[in-house]
Amino acid sequence: MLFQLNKIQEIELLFYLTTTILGIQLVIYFLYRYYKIRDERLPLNMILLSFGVFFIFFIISDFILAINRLFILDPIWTEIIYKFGYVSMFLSTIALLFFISIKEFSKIINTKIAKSLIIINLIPIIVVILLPSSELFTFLIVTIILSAILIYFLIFQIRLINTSKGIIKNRLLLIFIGTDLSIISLFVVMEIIAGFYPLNILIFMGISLLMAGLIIVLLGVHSFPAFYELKWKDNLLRLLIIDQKNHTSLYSYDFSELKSKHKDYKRLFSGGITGIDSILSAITKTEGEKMNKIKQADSLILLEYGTRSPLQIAYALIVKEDLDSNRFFLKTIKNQFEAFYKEILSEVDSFIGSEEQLFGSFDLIIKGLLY
Amino acid sequence: MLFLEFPISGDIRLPLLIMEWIFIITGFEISLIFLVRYFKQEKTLRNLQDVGYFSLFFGFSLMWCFYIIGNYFVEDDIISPFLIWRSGSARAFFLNLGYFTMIFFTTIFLFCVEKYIVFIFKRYVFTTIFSICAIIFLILFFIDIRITQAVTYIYWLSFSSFFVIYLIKFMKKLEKNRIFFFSGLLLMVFGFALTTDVAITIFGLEGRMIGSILQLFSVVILSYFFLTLPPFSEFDWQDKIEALFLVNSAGICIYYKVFSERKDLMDENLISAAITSINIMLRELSETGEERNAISVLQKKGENVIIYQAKNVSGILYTSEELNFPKVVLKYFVDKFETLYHNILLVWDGATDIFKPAEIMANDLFCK
Repeated sequence: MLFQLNKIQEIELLFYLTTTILGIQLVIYFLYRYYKIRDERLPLNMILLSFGVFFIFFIISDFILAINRLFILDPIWTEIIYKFGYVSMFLSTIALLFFISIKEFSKIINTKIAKSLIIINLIPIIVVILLPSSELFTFLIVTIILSAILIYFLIFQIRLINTSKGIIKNRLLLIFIGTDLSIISLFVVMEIIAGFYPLNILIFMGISLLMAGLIIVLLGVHSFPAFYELKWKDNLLRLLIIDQKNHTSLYSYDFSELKSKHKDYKRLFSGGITGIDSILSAITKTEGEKMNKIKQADSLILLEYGTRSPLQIAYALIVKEDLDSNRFFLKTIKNQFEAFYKEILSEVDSFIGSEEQLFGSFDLIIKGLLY
Repeated sequence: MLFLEFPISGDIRLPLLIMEWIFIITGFEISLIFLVRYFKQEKTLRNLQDVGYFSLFFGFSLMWCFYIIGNYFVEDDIISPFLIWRSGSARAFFLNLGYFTMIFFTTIFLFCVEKYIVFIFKRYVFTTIFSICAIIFLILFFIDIRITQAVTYIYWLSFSSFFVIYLIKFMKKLEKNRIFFFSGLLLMVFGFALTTDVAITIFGLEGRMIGSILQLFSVVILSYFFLTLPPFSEFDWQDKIEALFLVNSAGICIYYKVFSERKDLMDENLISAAITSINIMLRELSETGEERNAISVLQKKGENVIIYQAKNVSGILYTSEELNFPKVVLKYFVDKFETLYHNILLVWDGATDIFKPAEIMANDLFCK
């Protein structure tokens, strides 16, 4: 006989199999979402990669521990496999801490603690590798350090959710609740391993919690939007969309109370940008290349160019600081503008003089993008 | 012929159990995709065929759950008396629950499909036949739980015949990925056949293992197919569109397009004036007053007129059938048109050239 499990153990195995399948699908989805937007270089999109890596190790750890309990009878192999399970578990928390240690989060939490915890996290890994898993000392070390990490993670969650707004807040809330439930399920399994409880209904409780957690995370990561840097909106000053062929401004939007020095600012700006580009191209002999950033005193002009030839549309975003989020926002504006006005843009030359009337309705889209 | 003992035991028990469990989970997931698709659609657009497919996959997976209990976890010994029956076994009881689950959920599937398609004579013919089958099954179930299995073979044969007819109709509508759908279904039918008691007595549990693997492959292929499938409501709707008009608040036609060559219409300005009058009358009749963003449908034999009234513009769509999806597309078209031309419409001087880009928009939305 290959494996001899009793019926309860078989059901337990089927439950674990379900969570593993769900977990693997979740990891694939996280990594897929990250892969889709990785080129945008938004630092906070690391959440997708970090949580993907977290769940890989988490699910592997959970499954290894279950397989060990159900199938492995040899005490030496049992001990070796438990060590693998534990190490995998602690590697998963490193992925979470790595995400929190991103510089951007220093605005809401002390990220030095995250960096220190990554190092402290190595202690239980060493303890688990060197000492037997059944030792009380191992259990205490593992529990204390894991608890410290989780308390820190919980504080981070609360602060991040308080700082976030709109869809991202709802999605983060779901991801965090799901992750917390999954981690709680781990504690249940740990207690059983430590020998405090006999094998009983707690296992099914743990698996059910994990399953619920994974489903909630899946709901959260579904349609997860681009995660802009914190307070990125305060950085925006003005947007101008320019028809470079006709040297006219098609559309403009003021994000701040900034007043123009000139009455005819938009026309000046449109002509100015096109002129600067031509002069720069001539003196640097880069005719085929386009300018993408101008730094002037306390502000920056980020530039993007339309993809709908033969039109020559430039998108200029004036900002205070050079953030990746602002560049991504400008690209989004470009895509939205070209999609929304695709029918009109193909005949834009016939509407010279009516630009403001025609494109004024883009205000609604901008407000939508700012949520 | 092989002699089989239940619950299944031996070396193959665990791998077989795992394999069957994996495709049950995948089946449940596919069923949820349909349910989510149904609820994600706008209310007027919701198509019960999504619920039908949810029932089919959900029922199939639930049936397999009962089969697993019956084949792996309970005894097959005949006990007399057994619960409310003269004799029976726990396995027979759970298998019967499985049969009934599938019959119940396939009847829901039939109802959902027949709501949109008339197969023979009139609507709901198959639903009625299969409901009667389900009742007969229930009667037999309460008489003797060991004789129902034969009935399910007849049921499955009839359902398969219906499904083949349905598929021929459905496949015609699919432009791509037909091969995935067809191969997925073929694997499912062949795999399922290998897991029946008759097949197991011939091929043994190894045959059942192959059947389970085939079903797992089929579920994966069908998942891919259904994930890439557009909503059912989007099939063929463009063929039913005949003409489109946009009328401003003064009743003047600002844009029109005739899609169907067979369509013979009167002057667009007369139509605009007539529709404006109808709109005013409708508002008065329904006592809703100055109601905006409302969709009205006027129906005559072979002709439907859908009217959507936005703030400054009304859209009128002629269709040959009453469908939900064109209503949503008309609403999208009118709302986008109004947003694009909001400032122009307020001070419009009668020149229609400025609305020329609407032609591209209309072609994109209403033409194939």
